[in-house]
Amino acid sequence: MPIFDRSYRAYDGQLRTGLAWWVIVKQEMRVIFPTRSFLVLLGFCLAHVVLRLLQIVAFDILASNPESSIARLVKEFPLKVDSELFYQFLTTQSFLLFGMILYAGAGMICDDVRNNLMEVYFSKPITWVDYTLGKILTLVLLGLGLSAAPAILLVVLHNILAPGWGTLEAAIEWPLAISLYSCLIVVPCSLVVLAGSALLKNQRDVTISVVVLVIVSFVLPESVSNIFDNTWIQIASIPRSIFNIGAQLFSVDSEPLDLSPWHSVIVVISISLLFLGVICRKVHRCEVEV
Amino acid sequence: MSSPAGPQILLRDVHVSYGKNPALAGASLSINEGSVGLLGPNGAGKTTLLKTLLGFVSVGRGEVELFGEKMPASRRHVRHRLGYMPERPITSPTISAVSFLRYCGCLFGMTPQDAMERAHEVLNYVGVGEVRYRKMGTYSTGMCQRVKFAQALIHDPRLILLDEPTNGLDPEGRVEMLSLIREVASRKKVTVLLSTHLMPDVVQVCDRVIVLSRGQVVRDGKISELTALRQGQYEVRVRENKQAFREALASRGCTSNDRYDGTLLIQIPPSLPLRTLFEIAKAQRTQIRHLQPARQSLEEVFMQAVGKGNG
Repeated sequence: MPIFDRSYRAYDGQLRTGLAWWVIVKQEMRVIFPTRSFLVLLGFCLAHVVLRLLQIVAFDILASNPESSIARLVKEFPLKVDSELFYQFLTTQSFLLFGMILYAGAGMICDDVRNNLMEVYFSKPITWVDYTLGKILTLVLLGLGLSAAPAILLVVLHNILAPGWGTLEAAIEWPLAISLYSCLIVVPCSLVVLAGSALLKNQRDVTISVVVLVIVSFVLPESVSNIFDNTWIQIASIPRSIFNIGAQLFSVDSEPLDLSPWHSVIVVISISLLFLGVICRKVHRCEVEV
Repeated sequence: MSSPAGPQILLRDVHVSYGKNPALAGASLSINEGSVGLLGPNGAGKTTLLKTLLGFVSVGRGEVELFGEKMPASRRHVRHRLGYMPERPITSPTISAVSFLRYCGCLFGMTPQDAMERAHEVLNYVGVGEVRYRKMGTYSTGMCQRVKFAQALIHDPRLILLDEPTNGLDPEGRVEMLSLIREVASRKKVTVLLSTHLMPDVVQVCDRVIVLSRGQVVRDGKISELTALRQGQYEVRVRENKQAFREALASRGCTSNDRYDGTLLIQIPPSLPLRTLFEIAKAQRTQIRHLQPARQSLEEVFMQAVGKGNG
């Protein structure tokens, strides 16, 4: 009797339907995580989380023993756990997240197109909606996993280390603000990167284009606004609009724009929808040519 | 619902255009199980036909049904039973063939364990050995072609659409690929639609051939019927004195033509018995080394069909 048979075998298992987008999310994570560059970026993000963790632990432990000499020394430094800490944490984290999302997402669609994988994927029981949803969710989950998730854990930790009604009352709105601000950072960032990936031919072009776009969006409206002495021009700065909304969510005094946060909300949502439309159109055309 | 007795593929007067250029212009066909070759000159609409079956192009007019279900409305459901090997080379350079096939299996709805097991099974079947653990970016064209075939088989489909499956393969790889396709096509309730411009591939694998020209089906039938015997015509190869042999044939009322492979295509009048050929050969001091009733070749069928289509 042969121990190895190379003839064709039928598959007698079950084929499930639905949740194809989740299969795409899992596969993208499996592809992204083992790469060295990604692990370096992840290391930076986690290092920032650890620094904030130490900050909160130090504050809470020392706050419980205010008479110690170290506690007196610490009082000299701005070592507070308040909404501003989380605003600063997420704002700083947004730069690291941008790098990470750019690295993970720049090749996501254009590489599939370049390697002729689109027609292979769309010959499977998935549609352009599953594909688009899978790619967007990969980046969004990645981003939220390194922004909202650690920030909320830090809030929980703060409540554990400094239990009491006062802490809970102060922190009760932070998880909502953290979640909203994280989404505001991660979703537009993911969409702009994927839109670039859908429009351009390779990862390098996408990276360069998105970085240039973000820098221009950061700098140009501010400069033009100063030249013409018109604050409305600042509305074109998407990153500043996002930080502006964040400042409002966390009730932080120093607002990055001299405009109402509602204007910023409208701009961020409009731009996000524009990028989403670009992605949907390009991916749809990969499934149905004419 | 799919009717078990109905055709697996049904096209009725299908029109597809790329802008103002028609790619399919009223194509109609019906295919049950078995292996079918799709032949046609460049730009005849072969790839467009496959894309139409997959739901990759919008049908301007006409109807497309797979397994009794309308396309593209039921495309997600139908694709569970459909395997497609595209013409263009594919690769997923940063992952191995095993990971790629596992992913494809999961996209079809397999559990990760089943998908991994099945990935190894089909990679064994198509002859991808230990190289399956290497990143696909390092594969040769032939190896990528095998992986491309494997991904079409991962879920054991009922309908397999193959677009130029022997592209880029060396002669040995081509023979092996064709024998794999033939084995898959020989299974019950499986339909293989093989689009190619290589007629020997079709002859080797398929029972039936469909010839497309200018977006229309211009010939459709079993290969054995299309390449039927020619009444009173024989292929003959003689050892020597070919010219004298031909002149002697002409004197007895036979016509002879040289063929591309050095044989003679001889038409014998109905009144003349076959043994006359041997008598003439003997008289001309030569020997008949090859004699068989002449059939119309697939190439001739194709050329006639395309000529008709063009005309």
